[in-house]
Amino acid sequence: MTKSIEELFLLLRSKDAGERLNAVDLLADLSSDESIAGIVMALEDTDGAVRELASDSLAQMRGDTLTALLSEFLSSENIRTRNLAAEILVRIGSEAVIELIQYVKHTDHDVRKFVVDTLGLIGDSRAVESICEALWDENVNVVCSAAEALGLIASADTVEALIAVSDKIIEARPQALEALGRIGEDTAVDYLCERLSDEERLYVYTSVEALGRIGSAKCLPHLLDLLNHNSLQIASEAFKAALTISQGTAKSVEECVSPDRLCEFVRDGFILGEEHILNMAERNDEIWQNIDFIESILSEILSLPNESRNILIRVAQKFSDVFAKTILEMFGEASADCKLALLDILEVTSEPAGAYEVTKYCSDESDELRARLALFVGKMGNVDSAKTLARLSRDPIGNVRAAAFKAMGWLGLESEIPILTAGLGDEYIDVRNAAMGALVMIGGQTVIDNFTSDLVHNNVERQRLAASALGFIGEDDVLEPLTKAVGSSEAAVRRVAIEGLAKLETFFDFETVLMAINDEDESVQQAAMTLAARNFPQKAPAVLKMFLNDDNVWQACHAISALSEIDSNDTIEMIQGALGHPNNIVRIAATEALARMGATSTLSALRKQDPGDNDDLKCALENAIQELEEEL
Amino acid sequence: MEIATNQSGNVTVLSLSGRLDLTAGVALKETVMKSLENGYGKIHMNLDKVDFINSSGLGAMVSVMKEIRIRHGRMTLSNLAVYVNEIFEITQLTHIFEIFPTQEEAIASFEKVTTA
Repeated sequence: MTKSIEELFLLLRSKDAGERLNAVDLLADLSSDESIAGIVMALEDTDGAVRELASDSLAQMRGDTLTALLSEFLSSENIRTRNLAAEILVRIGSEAVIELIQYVKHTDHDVRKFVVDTLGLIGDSRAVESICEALWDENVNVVCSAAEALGLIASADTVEALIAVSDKIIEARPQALEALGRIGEDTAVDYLCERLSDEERLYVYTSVEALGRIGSAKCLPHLLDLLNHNSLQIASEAFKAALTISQGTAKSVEECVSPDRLCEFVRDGFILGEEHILNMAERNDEIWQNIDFIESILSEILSLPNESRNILIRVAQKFSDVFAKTILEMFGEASADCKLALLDILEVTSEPAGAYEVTKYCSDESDELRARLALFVGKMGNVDSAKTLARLSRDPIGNVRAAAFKAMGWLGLESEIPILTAGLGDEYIDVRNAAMGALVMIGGQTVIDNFTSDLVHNNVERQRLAASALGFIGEDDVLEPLTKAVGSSEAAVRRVAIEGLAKLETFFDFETVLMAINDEDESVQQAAMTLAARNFPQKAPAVLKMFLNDDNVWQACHAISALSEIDSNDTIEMIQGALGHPNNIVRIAATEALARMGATSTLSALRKQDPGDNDDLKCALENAIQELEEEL
Repeated sequence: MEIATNQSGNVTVLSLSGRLDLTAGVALKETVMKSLENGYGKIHMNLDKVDFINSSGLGAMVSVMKEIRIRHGRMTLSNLAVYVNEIFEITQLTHIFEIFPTQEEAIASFEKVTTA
């Protein structure tokens, strides 16, 4: 039932927040001046969800009433309400500007300041004149806000006024200088250069920053003069600005500073991810000869942004010896997190011999680090790490054991086969799979023999792993055990054995395939269909055909998929026949298979298909027809 | 197994096709060593046409990667077929090799090395 506006106002005063929320929702639908007033009231609700909905609803609305009401709220004593009103006005944007301008001369200086801030955030140039007047407000906070706002609006016409304010109202100088930088006009450069001689460091710093933003070449000599300023912060900002202005190409910028100071600038640049400094550092080979400098950057590795880390990795590749030496020296003292980050760099710098040194940290308390170190030493390929990996393969944490097994596989050591074989019985599947994968990597007769024995292991999981592994090992020697495994009493083993046989070029036993195709288990049948199509393309169609009318639609679909791997007119004809299947899922599978095969001869049949009200079939038909037409 | 060798800038591109097993692994090692001896340490392998890799093939790939690393070179792979990707997952070699979806992306990566 529709509620009147009076009822909705009553609901807004309900004790139940849910009812108040509902009221705001309904008022928003009305979108009248009265309803807007009600929603504005809800901005002061005690419940956050009600305030949020009110705020979102108002931001979607427009109109003078709304702006006027919200502007009134800027004088609210409740700072939360005031902020919310300002936020909505900013979201409303340009449409609120004319109404807001009227409040720039409000009697309350807090309101004036808030209005100027809001106008600045909206960034509409129609407010420039009023804000310029506010530059001479009796309240200094309003003046500072006005300067900031002009910087945000960035109108070139305000440069002169900002310079005047900077000169006359010293408290607003930092904001005025910053605004001049944001505006980016060359006309401010001379004034900003003059400010570089100010005693107050804040003014100097802000001017340097502003000059960097403006980017005028004429200030470059002034910035270079500051590179040895006794304030590192100012010198560093001047360096950054000079590099930006010279587009990172002027060698003179680097030559104007001492090597130590240059290192400090670069270190700051890495921490802040400053593009120009990072680029300069990458092409400056000299600084990377300084081990203390490298160590100081690496010690900050956790706080470095991604761009900085990427550059560091590139540089580390170039100067691998010095980086590897530095990292290995500091590794012991580093935290676990830091060690993890350092390993990223060590990976690109180390040689097997150097990498071995980190194995002594494989007893670290952090299991994440132990796992990472296991992978690291495996990746580095140092066979001396085998003992450490063997120890980690007995770690109480599964992830560490899995990492140790993976690494053992990469090292490819036959001597570790017994340990890896023991891992096949681990309680966690990830660890078992890692051990199996490692044994696959090692391969060879011993591994094949072990897995062949496992095919009759009393543990079914061991049988499954064995059949799977033999398939991946893929040598001729696995043909016999895998063929035997097709006769396993466990369906999972039979399935992976069939999958393994499908990878062998030397498998010609169609009788085994026929048995598997008639298996009692669907997944075995499906694996056998794929095997038949891949290894016996001549004989397979006749056998697979019977599945096309199977009661089980998924078997029919799988048969279609297997048949589609055989490129012949017979298979195309069979699949085309499935377009008349009573089940739409099979029809879709057939349609997609014909498109995949590029069977343009079936276009006419596809066009005649009636998908009825089945959208999926309709879509499949449209796509298939389009693809085949494009092939013609 | 066939191995076609081309240069793309300073990257040696090996396009492999067929089955990567014991015999093919030996041929692959020889091809890579030849490239390294000629001073080309940046090697990309396009596996688009590789339909089978077994233990010996994987062993050969790990072996050539180690050789490349020792010489401060770099090796990338691309275009792994479903089965090839499966065996890379099983053996966790996805952690060892830098694998890209396409050859173009792999070659572009030689211009700009990023974190793994």
